[in-house]
Amino acid sequence: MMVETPTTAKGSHADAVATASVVALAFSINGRHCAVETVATAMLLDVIRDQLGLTGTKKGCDLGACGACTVLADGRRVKSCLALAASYDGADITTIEGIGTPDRLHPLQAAFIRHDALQCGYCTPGQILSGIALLAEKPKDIAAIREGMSGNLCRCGAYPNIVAAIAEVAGL
Amino acid sequence: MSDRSVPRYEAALKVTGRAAYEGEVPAVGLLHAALVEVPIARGDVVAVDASEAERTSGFATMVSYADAEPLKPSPATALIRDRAVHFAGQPVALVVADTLSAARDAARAVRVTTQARPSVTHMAQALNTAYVPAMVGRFPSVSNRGDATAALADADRVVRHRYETAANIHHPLEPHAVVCWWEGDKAVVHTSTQAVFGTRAMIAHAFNMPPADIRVISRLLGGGFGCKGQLWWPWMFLAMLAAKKTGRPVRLELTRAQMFRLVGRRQETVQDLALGFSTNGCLTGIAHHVTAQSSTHAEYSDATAVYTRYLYACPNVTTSHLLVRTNEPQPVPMRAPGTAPGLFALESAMDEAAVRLGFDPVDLRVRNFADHDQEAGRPWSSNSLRDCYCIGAERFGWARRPAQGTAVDGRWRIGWGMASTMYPAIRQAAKVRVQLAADGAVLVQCGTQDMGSGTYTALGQITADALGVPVDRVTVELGDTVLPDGPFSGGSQVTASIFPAAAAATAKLRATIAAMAIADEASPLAGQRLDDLEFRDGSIRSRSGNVGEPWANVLARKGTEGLEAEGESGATQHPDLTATSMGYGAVFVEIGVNAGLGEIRVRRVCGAFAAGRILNPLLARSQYVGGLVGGIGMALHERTETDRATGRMLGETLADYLIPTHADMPEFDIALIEEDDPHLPGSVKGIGMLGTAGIQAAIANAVFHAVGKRVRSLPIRIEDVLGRR
Amino acid sequence: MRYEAPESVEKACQLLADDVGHARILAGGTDLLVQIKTDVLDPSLLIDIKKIQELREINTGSGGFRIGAAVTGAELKEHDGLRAAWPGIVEAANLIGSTQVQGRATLGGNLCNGSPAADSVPALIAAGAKVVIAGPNGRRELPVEDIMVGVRKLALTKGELIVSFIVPPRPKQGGDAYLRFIPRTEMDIAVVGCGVSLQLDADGTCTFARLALGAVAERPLLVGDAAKALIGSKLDAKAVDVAAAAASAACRPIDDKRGTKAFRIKVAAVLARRTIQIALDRAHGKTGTTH
Repeated sequence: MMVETPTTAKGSHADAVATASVVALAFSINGRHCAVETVATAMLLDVIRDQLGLTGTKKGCDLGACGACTVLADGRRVKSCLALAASYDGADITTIEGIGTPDRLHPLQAAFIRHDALQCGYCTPGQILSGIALLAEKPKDIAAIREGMSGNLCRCGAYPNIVAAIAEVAGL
Repeated sequence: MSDRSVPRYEAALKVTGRAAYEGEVPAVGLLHAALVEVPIARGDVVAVDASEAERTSGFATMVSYADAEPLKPSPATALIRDRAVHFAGQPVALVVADTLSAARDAARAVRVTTQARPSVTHMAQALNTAYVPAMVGRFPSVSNRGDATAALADADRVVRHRYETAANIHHPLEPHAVVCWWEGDKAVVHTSTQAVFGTRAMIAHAFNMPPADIRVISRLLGGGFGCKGQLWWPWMFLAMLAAKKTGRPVRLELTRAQMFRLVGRRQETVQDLALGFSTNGCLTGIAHHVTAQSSTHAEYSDATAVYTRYLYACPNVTTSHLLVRTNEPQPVPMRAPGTAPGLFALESAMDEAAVRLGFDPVDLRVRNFADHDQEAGRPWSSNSLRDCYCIGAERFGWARRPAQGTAVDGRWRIGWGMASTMYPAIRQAAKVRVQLAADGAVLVQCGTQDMGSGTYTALGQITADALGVPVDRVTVELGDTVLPDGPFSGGSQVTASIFPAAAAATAKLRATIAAMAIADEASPLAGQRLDDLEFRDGSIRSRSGNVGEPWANVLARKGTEGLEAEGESGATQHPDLTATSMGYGAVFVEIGVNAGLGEIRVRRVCGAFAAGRILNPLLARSQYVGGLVGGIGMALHERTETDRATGRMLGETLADYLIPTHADMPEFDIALIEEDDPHLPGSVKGIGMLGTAGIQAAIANAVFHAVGKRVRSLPIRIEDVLGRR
Repeated sequence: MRYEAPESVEKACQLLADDVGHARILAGGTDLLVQIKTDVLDPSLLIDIKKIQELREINTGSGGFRIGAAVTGAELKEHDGLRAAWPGIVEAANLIGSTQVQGRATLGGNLCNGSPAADSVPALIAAGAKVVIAGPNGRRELPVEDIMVGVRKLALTKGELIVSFIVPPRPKQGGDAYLRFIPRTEMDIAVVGCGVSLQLDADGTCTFARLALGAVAERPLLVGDAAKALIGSKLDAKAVDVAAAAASAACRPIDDKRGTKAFRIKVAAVLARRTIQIALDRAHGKTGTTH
């Protein structure tokens, strides 16, 4: 049986690509104003990493399951891989680059280092942004931290140390 | 906290998002790549037609088997040189374009014509083709000690069961990536690999070029767990071919879905295990026979039954491994390869035996402790397994274990279980270079890489200790083939391998500085005895005379810009060993089973591990806990399945393939039992694999203890727990 | 693919009606964007409804609630009045994915995604919520249980859009609850979900009950027999047993890797029992949790 197959169910989309609409966006990122032009289908993560060159925000699964791409948008944590950039026109975005520097660490970053709350480090920026948003929600106990952080996967298994770092900053 | 518990070397970069992973390396004129996959599970590629793709916006070029043909044949190039399709979703070409979305659109527009042939999409369909591979890793596939068949026939009690483990996927959170370009005939390859030198050697072979013309860089990995090795090479080669063809840098990053297929898996196993005992609880015979999956394009077998040859004292042991080739993705080592699935069977069966014989599970294991390596007939270099049982049991409170099936906490039925774990301690060849600057700064370099396991930190600490300087004076460079040859990151071997090389390099430097000081009239140490000098707090001092000075002063007076020395150490020479080295552990768990729903939660875990001297207790605990978390995933959640009709993976996302989350975490208590081992440099054994094995059986044993139901296949399904006893 | 972000319901309906390809409504995007990225869907037009004010609001009036279709789970949780009146709905909406997803995922999206396992839907059905639909011919209302007619199939016609959910006032001596079962502790798709709403009279007799199940059929189910067993009883063990058995009997699940048919049927009864108990505790004014 000889079969010619398009390589995916979707098949060829040469025409669609040619007509994909371009949108002009402006948002604040880590306190800096920025304007970009991007295709309407672009995700916030790809704009942040590829167009703005801020690679601290990681692409782990690209489908909203791992949390490595977590950023804060108007103070709320979102998975930027499942956030259409066009919907964030005018938003105030914070990425890991806006949290602290090696010389001036955010208290949660310092706690991560003390508790060894990271191994390979790839999930770490997302864990920290998620943790900062969670701290603002004032978790009442360790169980609340575990539940509130469950959108951030860590394959190295640093979970207990991550929770310990957040608990320390939360004063629990 | 111990003063050895220094924070992770690169932590500040990682917590601030400044840590650059290799797929993020910027390059001018970068092209983005996407792979073209075929849907058939077996057959041949007849044609790959890019004419439609060429008309998509941003398209640069396509490379396929026609472009790969000039590469030298090898296992690493076979998949891209041949037209044979071995598994569904196999890439047959790579497209590069100006942006990633343009590359993906172009890849979709490539028309592939295939000739499909009948495929085998599960082991069960081809058991009649099972064969014995020559070796399983560095061990023979088949072993016979004494006469296990006769011993089992004569045994007072026999426990005989079949155990099964599912295919697991490594899933480091950083997908495999490469950014590569050519500078004339020279190649620069930034890639997330666990082996920069192995990668360089395979590029040199495939492209028929001198290794010196290739630079492979892997300074930080976002995890590896065994999958950032050889199966990545073919796809990386396609990116290199595209870079050559276009004269531009190319970036290829795998999608999460591709990581289910293209870079390996923990192989699926079916294990038949029989344990024979005398009535007094002594093992008299063991038979452990494993059947496992491999692909049709490569051969790999975990050493699944190998550890059954070592763990317990038993005069009659037979083990074997069979492979069945299927049109499914190829397995490779994954976290605790062999021990994780093999000890699940052995340690589950030991628990069944304890119940049958009326022994406490810990007592039965202590009774069968192997006081020497019975397979090789030589002593252990050190073996603190009994301490692991004892200390672990004490810390867990094992003596208060309730009777089976009696403990409840609200809706939860509580069970306790335990198991042993082990992993060989071996070394690879390594070179380490240490440079001292005249201002006292230290630079240490090795071409090995850090997967996240702490190699930067360990090498910095080893060097700082040897030179008597604080760790923050030491700069560590890893992960680059321009650095001295270092080991691949795997098998829990890196720290043990680089330790003697770093010790040799620093010993040379100490000797040089000491000689300089003794011979220097201006030094307070002039004329001192060499063997009376020590390096401490950044100084060189006389132990007896209470004189000394900062060693930087010695260098400064000589007007030297600094010193440099290289140390080298060899790989473990197995035939020459006078003792066998392994790390050990005992893991104790408490689980709850939700009555009615059958939901299983691990509530607390105590792991007691003995693996030589611990360089950094903070990082060692992280390693053990991380391994245990991986083991919980294997025990309760992780399974990838093949659709038998199409050969495709069922569900290629992290929403389908469940790994443990924050909310699944129990309380962990880790006991570090330190050992002196005169046979090992610095008493260093690997620790990484120990946590990942053992806990699967401990959980299954705890499930039995809670609800009286034996589950002999992983992951444990809730249906298994709720079903008939 | 085009992107539009209209600021009125009428404009959104117009865009939907005029589109000759396959337009899709984008609310939180947590399901839609996954389907687009995995090539399950290839819409010609994305209509982002988050700029339509009416869809973003929770209005209280006459004791009940009007919840805009684009209100997120996180916003529901922050609404004290709704949390106090219908904790089951709020908890259900906050089981949709991770915290990051709850900040994006909307009630309308959870329903219109058309998954039988949608967490918020059984809770809304149990509460007796209605849906306001806008379309080319004006507005109409349907009970939530009539919206989903099959896997990914909705009772909406071309040009129609879900505007809001109308949730009745919390009955006096009433309580609701939602429980689901997943193999992992967090972040998974329901194997079975159960929503219950109850009302008691002064002497503790059940005067009103609704029980709905998710993930046990091609769409969420309102289990009338379960309600029948509860109404008129004092929610004694026998009545609850009959209701739980009715829940199991209503199931027509599939086998998949998350759970077998037999397991789902068994779990439906266990969950029904536990959900009824929490709703009952709440009707008595006790605070209960879903854990």
